[in-house]
Parts: sequence; structure tokens; C-alpha cells
Amino acid sequence: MFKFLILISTLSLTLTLVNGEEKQKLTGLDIIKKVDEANNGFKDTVSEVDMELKNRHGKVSTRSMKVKTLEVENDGDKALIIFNRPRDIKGTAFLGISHKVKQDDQWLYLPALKRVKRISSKNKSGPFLGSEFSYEDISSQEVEKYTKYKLIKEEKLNGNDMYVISSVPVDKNSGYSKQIAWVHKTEFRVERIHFYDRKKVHFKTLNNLEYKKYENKFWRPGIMHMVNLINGKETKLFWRNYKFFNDFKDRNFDKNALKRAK
Amino acid sequence: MKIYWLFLTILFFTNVVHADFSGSVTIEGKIFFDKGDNKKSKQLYGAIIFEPEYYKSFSEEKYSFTFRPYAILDAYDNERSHFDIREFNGIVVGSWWELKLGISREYWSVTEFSHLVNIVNQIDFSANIDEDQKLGQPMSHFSLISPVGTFDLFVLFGFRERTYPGDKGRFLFQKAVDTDSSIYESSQEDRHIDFAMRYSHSISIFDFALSAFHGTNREPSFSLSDDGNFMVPYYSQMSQAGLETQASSGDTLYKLEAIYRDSDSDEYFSFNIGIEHTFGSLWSSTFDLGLLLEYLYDEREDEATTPFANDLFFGMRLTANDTNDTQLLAGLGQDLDHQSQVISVEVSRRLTNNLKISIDARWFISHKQDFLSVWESEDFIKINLSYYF
Repeated sequence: MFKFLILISTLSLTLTLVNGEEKQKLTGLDIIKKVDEANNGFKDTVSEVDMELKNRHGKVSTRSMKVKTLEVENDGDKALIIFNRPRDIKGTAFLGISHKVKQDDQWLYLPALKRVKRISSKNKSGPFLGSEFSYEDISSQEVEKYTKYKLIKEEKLNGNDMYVISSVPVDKNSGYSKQIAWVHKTEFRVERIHFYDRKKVHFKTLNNLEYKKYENKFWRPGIMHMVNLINGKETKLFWRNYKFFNDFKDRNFDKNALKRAK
Repeated sequence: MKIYWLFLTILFFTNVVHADFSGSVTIEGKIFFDKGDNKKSKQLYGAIIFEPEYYKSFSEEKYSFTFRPYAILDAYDNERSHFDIREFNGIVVGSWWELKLGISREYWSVTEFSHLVNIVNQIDFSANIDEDQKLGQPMSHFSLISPVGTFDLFVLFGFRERTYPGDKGRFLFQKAVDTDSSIYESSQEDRHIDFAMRYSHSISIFDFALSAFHGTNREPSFSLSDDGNFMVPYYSQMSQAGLETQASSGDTLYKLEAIYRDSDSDEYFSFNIGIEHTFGSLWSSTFDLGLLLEYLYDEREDEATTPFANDLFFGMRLTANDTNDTQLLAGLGQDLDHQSQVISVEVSRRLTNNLKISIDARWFISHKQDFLSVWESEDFIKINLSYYF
């Protein structure tokens, strides 16, 4: 009798588990959390970025910079960006400490005066280095920064199965009213984003291309291609020489480090 | 001698072909609207400025070395032509400390129109009347970085005299300054060792710093030379306590900077308080508009040795955020005691990947007794064309 009871209970437990998995489909928020989890534990990275800006007449100009990041548990990440080209901004460096809910902290180092200046971080929608990427596009992406995650459909993109999720930024100073992201179903990496401006018009499209896996876990795109559908301008970011686990500390992301950054 | 140094520098840098080599060459043209008070001065000036930098770091930036000479060659005012070493230093970085030895520059200050607390380096006044060009200062600089803030200790070896244009130049203080016969309060003259320290910290939206300095006053007072043809600078000993605070709330920055200075000749308090607000993405374009308002008070009032004692400043910064980094900065300084004004307009834009142009115009509208009245006929337009490598 006792054994029978155990059998029944085990069986029912198994049944609910099977049922649960079948019934409980992933929500938009679940998927975004999985994207976030897939990136957990990267600790730090350093990479070189070439930025290619193309205006609507096809005229190309380039920028180059070095990007260092530090993962911060239970808060937004830290980033140090050191500009190398064009040469008149060489040595200019940017320190960003992002937060999940609070306003981000940002400092700029101006090498001509050797001045460190705290800058206002509210103007997220402003263009980064005159490109089609805005400051909010390049700052650390946190689940908490968006809300109303909704799985709107599932479809194929570049031959892979994708979840298509819409979300709305929490911050009223965001330049966006909505984002729609294509997330790889098994690798949980974002492959495309449609950005909607404040007038709810789809005005920018980002394609993350040439994904590569680092340290057997972390997917990073080799090219990020942003197209502005309204003004016809494009920006491509080419990410080179990605290095993980550099043993960076908070000390590598303080104002002293900003002043020394080259 | 100066030319010889310039050549030596060029020779050194052309031989070092390295990725860590950068810098700029600038051609500067200046047009003055008036003839000026001095018979020898002209209305057209031209100069070449060369400022390269060599940087090398070792074992993941734990050790680094920087060499940054500076040379300016004025076509007419040979007193303005000079050579300086802005940086020549080594840095060692530890987990909670940093040590820098050599010649360097250190910037303190949060406000935009004046930089009261910024005391470590001497102003290279002949290079730029904006007072934002600083001469390299030999120093040892130790930083202690802790969770409760950063402590900086400076020992400043020797003193750099302020540079002034010669009697063929512009921006004279009625007469040219004779920098060869400077007088010092200290018997050690320009070999006096100065000390400075600073405590700084950031907590949420606040950045603040407290600083102290003891040594040779960077700002001279003047007496007339025996023959009456020159101004002779006098450098006193002084102590200064300084405060810098900034609160960054959203698009608005609130700033306060204050000093208390004590020397044999005077003892005074001065502060600069201001606000800076940025309107981003103007009319849904990529333009940003920054508005600045600052007020400066100097307890010495009319006795002040600077042009500003009770002044209001209004500034406007328009940034296009385009690929050429086009910017416009306009400023108005209004003296509340004498109704004098300084108006400035600066425009800059990148022309090619390596070439940048900046145009800078200045007008001085002054009334008698005011400090600025000596510059009443010094209105100018400056055009700088810089090649960056």
C-alpha cells in the first residue's frame, strides 16, 4: 500500500512535470532573461572596434576605439571606451557605470586639458560619435531597462528559428517607443532589432552579424550593422580581438584609470 | 637655442616610428581689429604650433611613459616663440595606489569660465590668453585610491614663470612684461619646492574635492621697471584652500568652486557658482544645445588681479553631433560693477580625417578703471588649422 502510494505520487509528479513543460511556453520576459543568463559570468572583456559611417551619398568615414567592459553583479556593467581615430579625438576616453534602474554615471576625459568631466547621462537618444548608434544603444543592456516584454511570433531569420519579442523602454528619456528583437531560439542571442521612434515609426534596424562563440559560452557579433531608414545613413561596428577574463578590477574602471587610458 | 630644441624634437620623433606616436601641427592666424597701444605691435600675426606625444606602456599598463613636448614659433613676436615639455613622466600603478614622477600637468576645476582652484601648473599665457594652456611642472604625484575617496599628494619641484608676449606682441598689460627680471618673495626664487594635496570622491550624483596648496603664487603682481619701459613680475608665497563640487542630475549640472587664498600682500575669498543644462536632440534633430550660467565673486573686488571680480557669464554650446564634430560655443561675460563685457564665439569642425579648423573671435567692451580696459583695443579673430597624426 505504502509502495503503491509512492508510485502514484511519483507518477502524478512526473505527469505534471511533463504537462507543465508542454503547457508552460516561454514568455517574452523568460526569453529575455535567458538572453541575459547566457551572458552571465563573462567577467570582463577588451576589444577593438572600428566604426564605419556611411552617409546617404555613400561617403564613408571611420572611427576606431578600444572598449573595455567589467561585469558587475546585481547592477549594470562598467565600460571604458578609449578613442583612437580620428586623430583629433585620440586619447579622449569615456567611463560609463550603468545601473539597472538609477540613472547611469558617465565621465569624459579630455586629453588636451587633461580634464575629467562628469557629463549628464540623460540624453540617451543622442548620437554616439555622430553615428546611427545612440548612447543608449552602446550602454549595457539590462532586463530591467525595458518592460512589457511580449512574444509576438516565432519565425525563421537567416535559416534559424527565432523568437520575436517586443518591449518598451522604462525610461521616458529613451529615444524609442518600442523595440522588436529577433532572438535565436537555442543560443539566445539577439540577431536583429527594429527600433521605433517616439512617433511609433520603425526608423532604425540593427543586424548583428558574424556571431562567434568565445570561451565556449559567450556569443559576440563580429559586425553590428545599423541602418537608419529615414535619413538613409548607415553605421557598421567591426569588433576585433575580443579577449575575455583579463582579470580586470574596479580599479581599471575608476577616474584614475580614465585619466591614464590610452 | 629654441630653434635648436625644435629641430631636435622633430628629429627624435621622425626616427621613432611607433603606433604610440601621435600629436598635432597647427597653423595659427590672428587678425586684430585695432592697431593697439604699442608702437611695435601689428594687426596680423602668424604662428606654428607643434605638439607631438610619445606614449609607451608595459605589462598591461602597469607602467607607462609619456613624452609630450610643445613648441610655438611666432612669425613676428619672438618673445612668444618658446619650447616647453608638457609631459615627461613615468607612472607606476598599484592596486590601491599610483605614483607619477616627472614633468606633468594636473587639472582641477569643475566650472567653465574660470578655474579658481586649478593651481598646480603655471599658465602658458603667451600661448593662449584663454589660460587653458599650462606649462609642464616637475613633480612627484602619489595617489591613494580607497573606497572612501582618492587622496593625492604632490611635491612640486621648482617653479615655472608665467609666459607673456613680448613688446612686439598683443595682450600687454599697458607695457610688456620683462620675464627675465622677475622678483620672488622666497630667497629660493624659482627653486622653491611647493606642496599640494587633494581629496576627491564621487557619491551617487555628487562629485567633490577639497584641496590645499602651499608655495609660490602662480599669479604675479607687477611693478614698473626702473626705466619705466617694462612691467616686472613679483611672485609671492601663498597658501590656498580649495573646494570643487558638482551635482549631476539628469540633463542639469550644478557646480560650485571656491578658494581661500592667503599671502603676505592679501588674503581673500573667491567663488564661482554655476549651472549647465543640455537640451538634447533639439527639435528631434541630432543637435544638442547646452546653456551655461555662472557667477564669479572675488572678495578683493576692484583690487582683484584678475579681470573678473563680480561677473556674470552666459554661455551657449551648440553641438551638431555630425560626423565632422561641428561645434559652436558662444559666451558673454558681464562685469556687474563696471558694465564691461567680453564676448567670445568659437566654431570648430573636422574637415578631413586628420584636418580640423577652429575659428575663435573675441571682443572686449570695457569702461574706465576696469581691469579689462587695457585690452579694449585687442579684439581679434583667430583661425587655427590643425593637422592631427
